[in-house]
Amino acid sequence: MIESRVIFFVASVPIVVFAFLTMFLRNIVHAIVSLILCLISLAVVYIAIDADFIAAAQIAIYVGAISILILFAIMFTRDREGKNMLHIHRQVGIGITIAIALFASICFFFISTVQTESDVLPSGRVDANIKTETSITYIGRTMFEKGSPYVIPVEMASIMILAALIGGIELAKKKEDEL
Amino acid sequence: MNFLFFIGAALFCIGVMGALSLRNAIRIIMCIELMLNGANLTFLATSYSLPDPGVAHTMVVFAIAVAAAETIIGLAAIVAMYRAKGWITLEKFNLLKW
Repeated sequence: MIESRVIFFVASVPIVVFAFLTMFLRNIVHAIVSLILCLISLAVVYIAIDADFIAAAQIAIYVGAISILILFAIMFTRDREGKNMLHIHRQVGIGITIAIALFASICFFFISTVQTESDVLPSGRVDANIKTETSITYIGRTMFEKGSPYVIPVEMASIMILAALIGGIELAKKKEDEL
Repeated sequence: MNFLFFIGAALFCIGVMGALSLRNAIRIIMCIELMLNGANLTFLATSYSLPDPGVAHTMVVFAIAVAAAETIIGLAAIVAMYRAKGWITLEKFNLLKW
């Protein structure tokens, strides 16, 4: 337990730093590289809190697929006149104010509602019979067990991804009349 | 473990800050990814205090699926916008402004 705590104290520094760099770096390709590094450090934290399957999905889906998709979109949309403009809008003051207010209110909410450390880490978690299960076991049990409430949402998620796929192709392809 | 809640909140708020104050549409999509990742981290941090940790993990799986669909549609819309106008600077799109 001590080791994993050290891991996420160490890995949370690059998470926040690279998230800030994603916003403030001027070159958009540098920004996407810093987003990728932020997502990889998140995957490290996921491994440290026993979420192996989510960490693997994070690497495969976010780092492998979504970032490359964003890179391709950057390649397709070279903004010629926006190149020499500042990438930050003039209403940045309002944005920073709202973000700080939101962060303060979320922290206030956490401090006032989240249980103490001893409640959050029940001793049952270190039992041998729970430790032998990997995270994929209980994801599978929650999602696909007989009588599980998540069977219909799983099917709806697959239909939603199919609809997004078809809609993405339809939106982004060249129409016949503008060839 | 409480520490992770604050990291998740910080990630979400950095995403909010970026989404409110950047010009480029693709950068705003990237900031929305940051917000979704902050939410995922908060879900996984709660998994320790739930009786069945599979619930939190299942929510994160659904959130990743929704994020993938959202990114596909958003980037396709941005590419279509670029085809129509030749730029993707959001403040210049004043078609619905009155």
